[in-house]
Amino acid sequence: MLFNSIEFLLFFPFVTLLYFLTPFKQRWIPLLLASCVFYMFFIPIYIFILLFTIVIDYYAGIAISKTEKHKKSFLILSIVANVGILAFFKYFNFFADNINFIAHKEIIPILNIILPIGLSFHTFQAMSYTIEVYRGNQKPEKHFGIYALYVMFYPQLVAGPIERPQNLLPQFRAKHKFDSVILFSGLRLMLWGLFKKVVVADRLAIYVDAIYSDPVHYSHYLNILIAFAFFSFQIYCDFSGYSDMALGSAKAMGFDLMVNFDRPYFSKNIKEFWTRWHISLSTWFRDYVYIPLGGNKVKTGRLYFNLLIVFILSGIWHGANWTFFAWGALHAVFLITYLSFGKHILKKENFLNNFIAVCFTFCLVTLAWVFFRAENFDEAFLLLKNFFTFNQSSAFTPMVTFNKIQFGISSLIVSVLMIAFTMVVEKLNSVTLSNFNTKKLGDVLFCSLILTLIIFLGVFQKNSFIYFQF
Amino acid sequence: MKISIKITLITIITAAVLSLLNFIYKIGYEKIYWNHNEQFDELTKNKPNYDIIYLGTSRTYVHNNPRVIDSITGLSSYNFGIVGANLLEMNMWLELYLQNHHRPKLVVLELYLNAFNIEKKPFFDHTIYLPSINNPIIYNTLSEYRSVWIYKYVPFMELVEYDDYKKFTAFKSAFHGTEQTKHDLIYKGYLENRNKNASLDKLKANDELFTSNESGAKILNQLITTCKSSNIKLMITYAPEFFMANHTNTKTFFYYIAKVCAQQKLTFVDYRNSDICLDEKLFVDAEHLNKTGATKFSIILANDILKELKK
Repeated sequence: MLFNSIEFLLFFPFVTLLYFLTPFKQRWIPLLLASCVFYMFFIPIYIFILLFTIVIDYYAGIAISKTEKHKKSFLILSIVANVGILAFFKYFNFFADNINFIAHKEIIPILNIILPIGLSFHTFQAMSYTIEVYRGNQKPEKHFGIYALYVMFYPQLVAGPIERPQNLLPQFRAKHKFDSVILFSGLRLMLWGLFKKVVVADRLAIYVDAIYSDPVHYSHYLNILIAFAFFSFQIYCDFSGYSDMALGSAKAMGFDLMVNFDRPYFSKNIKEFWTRWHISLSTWFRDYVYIPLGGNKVKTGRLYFNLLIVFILSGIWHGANWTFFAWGALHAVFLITYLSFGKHILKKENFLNNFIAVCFTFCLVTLAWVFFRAENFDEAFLLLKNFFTFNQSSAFTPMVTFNKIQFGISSLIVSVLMIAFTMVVEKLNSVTLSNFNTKKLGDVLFCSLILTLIIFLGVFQKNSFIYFQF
Repeated sequence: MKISIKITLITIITAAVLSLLNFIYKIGYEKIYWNHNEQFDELTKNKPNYDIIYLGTSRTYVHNNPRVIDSITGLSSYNFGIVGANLLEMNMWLELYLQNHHRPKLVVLELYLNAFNIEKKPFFDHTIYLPSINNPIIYNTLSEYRSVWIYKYVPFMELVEYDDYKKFTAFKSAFHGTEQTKHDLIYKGYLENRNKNASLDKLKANDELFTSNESGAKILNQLITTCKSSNIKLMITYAPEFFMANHTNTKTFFYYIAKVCAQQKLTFVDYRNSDICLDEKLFVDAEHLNKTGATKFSIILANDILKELKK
C-alpha cells in the first residue's frame, strides 16, 4: 500500500481508531494484522518470506540469550538466514549476469524474480535485533506477536527508518493514551511528507525521467544540469517525504520512530552530510560494520579502507548494479579526500564560507547521484560527458515530455518555487516540524496552505517511492 | 485550540481557497479558444442545427473542412473531431449533440485503429469534460470508467486533475483582462494543420495496434442503433494516410468494420485507396494531411457525402 494512495487514506484512520479502541494489552493484535494487510497489498505470497525470517530470528534471539557456548552459532544462523534471503532475491541475478558476461555464455540461468518490497529494510532491522541480543544490549523478546510487530510495524516496514530494538520494542509495551496534540503533530508531519512527495518529488520526476530516458535527445548541458539538480531534490523529497509520513503515522498512535533526515543539503562537508542523510542506515553500518572493522581507532590507511568497505556495502545495499557500487565508492573517495585535506579548507566559520561549503557539498552529492539514478555506466558517462563539455549540439528545451506528460515552463517555475519553499520551511523549523506553536493560528494556516498546495499542485499518478525498490 | 476546531478551520480555509482558485480557473478556461472548447460549446450550449456532423479523431478535425464541404454539398456541417478519440467518446459526443439539437441528416464517423481500445484508454483527456460534469450524459459515461463522483459534489477537487500547463494558461487568461481572439485557424471545428511537411521516416507510422474488444463492439452497435432509431444516415470512414504508413494488425480491424457495415447495410469508405495517399507533399506525418491535403480530401469527401445522401 502506498502512503500517497486512496487506500491508505481509508486504512490509516481506521487502524489508528482501532488501535486506541482496543484494550491496551491486546493492541499489538490490530497493529500486526494491519501491518500484514499493508504488506500484502504488494505481493501477498511474499509475507511467507517475512514470516520465515521472523521465526528464525525470534528463536535465534531466545537461543542466544540461553546459551553462552553456542550463542555465536545462533547469531551466524540468523545472519545467514537474513543475508541468504537478501542475496537470493536481490543479488542472484546480478551475480549470474556477471558470471555469464565473463564466461560469454549462460552458465547460470537468470531467474524471473520480483524483489520483495522493502526487503533490505526489514532484513537489516531484523539483523540489528539478533546482533543486539548477542551483544547483551537487548533482552530477547519472548512474545512472538510483539517481535513480529517489531519487524513488520507498518509505518516503517517497506522503507524504514531501520529501527533498533532498544528504541522500538519497549514502545509496543508502553501505554499510549490518546493525545490530540500528539495526533495533530503526527498528522501535520504526514501532510508535510505528502507535500514533499506529490508536489515536489513527483513533479521533478517527470523532468528527470525525460532526460535520463533519452540522454541522446536531451543532450544540451543546461537540460542535463537541471536534471542533475532536480534529481538531488527529487530523491530527497521522495525519501524524506516517505520518512515523514512514516514518522507521522507512527506518532499519531504515540510511537516515536528514529529521525531519518536532518536537512542534509545544508551540510557543510561530506562527513556532515552522512550524519544527516538516511541516518538510520548510516548508523546501522557504523554500529554493525564500521566499528567492528576497527572504526577510527586504527591506522590511517586501515581507516580509509574501512570507509571504502562501508560505503561500497552501502552502495550495493541500494541495488544490485555496478552503478550503485560506483555511487558508494565515489562517496568513500569524497569522504577520504575530505578527511585528508578538506578539514584545512574554509576553516573560518562565516556566512560566505559556510555558503560556499554548503554549495560545494551539494555539488559533490549531486555528481554522485548521477550514478545512483543512471541505469548503467554508458548512460551516466554520456550525461556527464555532455555536461562537462558544455554540449550544445541539440537545442536547450525547457519543455520536456515523458510518457506523454509535458513538463513546460510553468512546471519549471513551480518546481523551483516549491523546492525553495521546502528548503525554507525545513530550515526555519525543527526536522519533525514539532516546534510549531500548536495553540496559535499560524499552525492552522500552515496546514491549510500545505493542504491547498497538495490539491492544487500535486502530481497524482500513483507513483511509487524510489526507496521501495530497495 | 482544540483539535476538532483546528481540523474544522483547516478544512474551511482550504476549501475556501481552493473554491476561489477553481472559480478563477473556470473563468480563464472559458476565455481560451482551445479547439475542443469551441466544439464543446457548440455541442452543449449553442443551438444551430447542422445537416452533417463529423465525429472522429484528430484526423477528422484537420482533414474535414466544412467550408469546402458545405460549398460543394450546399448543406451545413460541423466538425466534432477530437484528438485521440475512441468509440466511447464519439458515442458520447453524438448523444450530447442529439440532446441539444435536431437530428442531422448524416453522421460521418471516422474510425482509427484505436477506436475499440476502450478498456486500455477510455478517454484521451478526460479533464476536458470535468467543467461539464453535471451533464448527466457526461457524468454517466465518465463514471463508468473513472471515479468522478467527488468532482460532482466537491467541484474544487477537479484541480487535482489539471496539469500545470492547463492551470497556468487558464489563470493567465483569467487575469488577462480582455478575451483572447478566436483562433483564426479554426472554422466550425476544423483546424488547419499548418505544420511543415515531415521527413519521410516520420511518415512511416507503426505504433497503434487494433484490438477488438467487447465494450468497443458494444458501443459501435449502440451508436449504429441510435442513428437508425433517429433516422440518421451513418457513413463510416477510414481517413487517408500515407501509403508507406506501416501499421500492423490492420487486417483484423478492416475485416471487422467491413463485416459490421455489411450486416448493418452501412457505407464504409476506406480512403487509404485514394490517390492523395501517394503524395508525400500533402502530409505532415503518416496519418495527418496538411492544409492543401485537407482541401483535396474535403472535395473527395463532399462528393462521397452527396452520393451517400442520394441513396
